[in-house]
Amino acid sequence: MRIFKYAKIDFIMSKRFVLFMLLFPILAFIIVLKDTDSTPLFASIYCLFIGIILSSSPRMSQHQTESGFSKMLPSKSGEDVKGHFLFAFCLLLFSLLLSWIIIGVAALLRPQLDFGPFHYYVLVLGAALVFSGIENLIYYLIPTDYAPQTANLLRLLPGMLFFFGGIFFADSLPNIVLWFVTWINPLRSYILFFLSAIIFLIFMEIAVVRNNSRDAL
Amino acid sequence: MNLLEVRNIQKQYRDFSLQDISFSLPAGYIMGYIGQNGAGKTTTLNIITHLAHTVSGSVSIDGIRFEDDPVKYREMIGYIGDTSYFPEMLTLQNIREILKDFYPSFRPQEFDHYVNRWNLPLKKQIRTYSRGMKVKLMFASVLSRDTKLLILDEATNGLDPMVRKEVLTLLQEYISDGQKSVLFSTHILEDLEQIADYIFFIDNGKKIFCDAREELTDRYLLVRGGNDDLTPALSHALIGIERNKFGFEALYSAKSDIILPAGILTAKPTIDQIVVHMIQEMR
Repeated sequence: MRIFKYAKIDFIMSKRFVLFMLLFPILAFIIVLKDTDSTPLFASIYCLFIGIILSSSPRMSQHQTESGFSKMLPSKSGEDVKGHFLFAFCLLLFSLLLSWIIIGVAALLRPQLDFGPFHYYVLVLGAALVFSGIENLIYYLIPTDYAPQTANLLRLLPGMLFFFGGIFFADSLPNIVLWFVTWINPLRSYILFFLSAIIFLIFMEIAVVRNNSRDAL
Repeated sequence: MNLLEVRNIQKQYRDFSLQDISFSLPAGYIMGYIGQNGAGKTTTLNIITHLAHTVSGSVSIDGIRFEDDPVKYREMIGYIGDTSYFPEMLTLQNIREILKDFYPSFRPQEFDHYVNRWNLPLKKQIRTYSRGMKVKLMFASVLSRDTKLLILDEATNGLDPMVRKEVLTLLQEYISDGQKSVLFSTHILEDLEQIADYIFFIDNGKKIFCDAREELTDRYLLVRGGNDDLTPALSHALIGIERNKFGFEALYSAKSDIILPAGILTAKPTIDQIVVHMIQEMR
């Protein structure tokens, strides 16, 4: 139960990022509506990209001394870390839902728009989970006395890799992408998503161990 | 019964080590935890609040160690630091909501009472608060729930005299039922003269003394005299001699065998004076 309470703190602290978060769905909406060649899946990728970036923002935006507040709240070992990972997971789900709303609205304006196979979205969510897991794990691996600017730069890497790395991969290796698109089917997508979720949980447990072994302040 | 038991805690940093610190604080009393900057005060408090890990030793509050029951252990502590630990982007309303979620004993009406009493703005971000307002918010958050041990880390630094006086009154009210205690780390030793029952003095990570305040001030005399009065035999019996062109000032142990010569002025020392001369002696 306290895990949910910690996730709630992250939600309270991320309120100020909401406006920023809405910028990307608007951009995605315009692309889906205007670029008739692109798949609506891009809207989800855009939204998940910003979801990954923001999933660790509530903590990264805190000064070191401020983290003492959540560290002193009554809880068992690791519950605060798990709460942060739960927040990240919920934010990615929210990002995906937001992208579906955008695609839905775009479909109203452009009826010929094809949503595409559902399992592609599940697959992309799985990939976002892994990258978000890495990003949140980085937060706990970086020493507490690290320069905030460097720490923030390191934190942004997984999200950037997810988005720009994905685009680079798709552009540079079209044959592999084509093979993958024909290979992937709903069952394989769901299995890959399940594996992604396990990887996310493993990252969470590593973060718990790391957090327990270091001083908060 | 001892409310706080600290046994042989140690902590090693690259350039500092906290060495074998032990003390106990009975329920219903206030202990002043004093020392120079970098002496190890905050490190000790961080170990007690479990924000820092100790390499050895143990800490228990009301007989409970963190390892036994981390939830109850943390519920028993009320911490007020020298800087606000609340995330600066939050508002007082957010803090109230979080405290309500986490502390079963949190009393929202009492929290609102303190908030109104101190005119703390509800909807402004904590970052816009003055230092005094932040300290008051920290007090409101710990006084509106059931705690056993209040830990203050330089909390009264930079506060105006009226607020400081109010804080000292609050601390005395806090321990008045004889069930709770206060561990108060501060540079302002004048505050401790008024409210502390025990004084723990730490220097360079080592315990120098831990005594009841009255016993401590009874144990020494503050002596002043001319430079001619300072014979080698007397110098040997004095602690932390400070010389100037008019004479000297030092501490004199009340148990000393050396009899003070005529013309030496004596007075009961303040804690501040005891500490200053102790540090002078150690240097």
